[in-house]
Amino acid sequence: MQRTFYLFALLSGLSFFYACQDDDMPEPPVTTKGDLEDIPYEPEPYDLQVPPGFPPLEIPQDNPLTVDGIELGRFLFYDPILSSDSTQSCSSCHLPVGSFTDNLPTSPGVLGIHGKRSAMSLLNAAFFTNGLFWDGRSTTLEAQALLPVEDPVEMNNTWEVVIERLQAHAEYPAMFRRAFGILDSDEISRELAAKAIAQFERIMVSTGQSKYDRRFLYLDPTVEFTDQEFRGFDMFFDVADSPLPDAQCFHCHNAPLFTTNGYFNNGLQEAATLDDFEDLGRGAVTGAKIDNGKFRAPTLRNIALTAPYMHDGRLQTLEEVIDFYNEGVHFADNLDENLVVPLGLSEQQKQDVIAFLHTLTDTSFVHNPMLSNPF
Amino acid sequence: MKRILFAILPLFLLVTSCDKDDQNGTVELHFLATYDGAPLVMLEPYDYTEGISILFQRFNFYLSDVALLKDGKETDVLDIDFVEFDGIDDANKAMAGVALPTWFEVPAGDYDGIRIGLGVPAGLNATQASDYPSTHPLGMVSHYWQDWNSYIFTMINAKIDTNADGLHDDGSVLYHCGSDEVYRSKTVNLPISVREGENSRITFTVDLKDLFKDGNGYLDVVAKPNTHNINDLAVANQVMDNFRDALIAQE
Repeated sequence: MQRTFYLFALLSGLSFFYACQDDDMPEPPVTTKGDLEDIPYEPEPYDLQVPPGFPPLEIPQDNPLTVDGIELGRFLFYDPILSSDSTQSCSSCHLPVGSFTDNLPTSPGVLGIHGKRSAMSLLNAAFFTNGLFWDGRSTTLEAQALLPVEDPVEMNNTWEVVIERLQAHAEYPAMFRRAFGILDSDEISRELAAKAIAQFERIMVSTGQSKYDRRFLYLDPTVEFTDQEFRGFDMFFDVADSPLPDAQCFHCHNAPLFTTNGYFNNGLQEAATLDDFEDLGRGAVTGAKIDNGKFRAPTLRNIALTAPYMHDGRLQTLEEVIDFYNEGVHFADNLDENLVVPLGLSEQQKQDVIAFLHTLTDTSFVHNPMLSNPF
Repeated sequence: MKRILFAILPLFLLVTSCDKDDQNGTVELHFLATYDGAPLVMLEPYDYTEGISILFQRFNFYLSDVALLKDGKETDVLDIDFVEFDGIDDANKAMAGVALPTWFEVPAGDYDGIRIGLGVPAGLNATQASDYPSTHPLGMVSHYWQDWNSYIFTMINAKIDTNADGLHDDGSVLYHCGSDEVYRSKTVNLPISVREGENSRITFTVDLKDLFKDGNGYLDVVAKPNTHNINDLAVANQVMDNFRDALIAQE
């Protein structure tokens, strides 16, 4: 009995001692080695070339462009592993041939349900500094890349499932290691996946090889605009003292990006009051009635490749677009003030504006091997 | 003895550096806009001239080269910034006005005036929007007009109702004033007291209707609905003169 008592006392003392030690001592060093540590992490900065006259690139400090980060993003962008039934990738709605649109009015998700808005071109997304999507609900490419995975009308998946798939994948853990320096597959996260996709989207920049760019940005003397293209130019930019009418384009689609990154009611939706728009657009994000019915002005670069047009893809051709602005705009109190009076363009003038828009086509961009499907 | 000196020196430096900070105060620039004396609210109809109702959608301008004045000397406050009333959609917001987010640190003291520029000074106007990041006031491509080689210094956009049907769909007023010629500077004699460690708010008030003054009446916005021709700056000059004259400053 006495022996048992001493043993109990000793054990109690030891427990107390070790409990105190736990509080005071640092954690013991982790001896478990990460499963990716043997793979070298040697990030190589990516030097993104931007045409002259473009604004400065604004790259988040916590997500610099690297060769391996972009490559990982390219694989993730084209990989249907992100969707619930592994049938859809980002590229399902953003194909290079359509300047990273799908050329559909609206896009079907994995359940066959169509979203209510058209897939926007990703051309020059790095410069979309005033919100992404038609309504600007995401402020950064990194934040934007998180949303389609869990949207029921898009990929209808969860990030938890995606991360499990990526962690168990034969190639992706090593790619995440090379891109972000993680030590273990467990560190693969939705944030890192979104960062990689954002890096890839950020390099989708104009090549500067459109006719407009070669003529006006690179001042290439061998590139001549036709008379028709110049007439379209004059109307697009409302050149002073031109006898041609103002086509009211550049107020929302100014050079060099051919978007001002602003939100406008362009008169597409008929609404009795500002509360009655079928799609509230920007107003649903800001909560301000003044913003109801407004949508982001998309870039007009590569516009000839991105039909159909408008946020709901209701207009099939550029001719329909010009006809709409010429005579089909619906009035509302917040209708963009440049569009109140019919443009009054003649048939010839409409064709002239369209001819100018074709000078913005950059086929080198859609054929850029850095942006192509790696699978 | 040396030890004592070494101990006292950091304390002395700390105290003197604190003293220097305490000698400064801050200045806040605040703006109120009205129309014919009423708070200016976007998308609200206002009477313009007989038979014309006007509904504003944008009123914004560049503010530049701001300095406090004292005995003929200038204390720089601000190089360039942008003031916009475009998002003012109710009377409460209109009465609260628009304040620049930065409070500008200046030496404490009693100043006798303030100078401001309306528009973009020639040096900066020789640059263009693509020279700046989007966060810079001069980085707004919506306010750079390539054909003019100029920023749009002041933008007033409105729609008008001329047939009294309640719809402002009879025309637009697009007064976009730019180019070096329309830059205006204004000096206001105003006692401004900046106290150590305190913020002084200087409020500028402008009545937008005053910007349309034309002699004893108002500009004919039907006949002259826009200022888009860089070679015809008569209206733009008049609007900017009116703007300079209409601006009231008070502490």
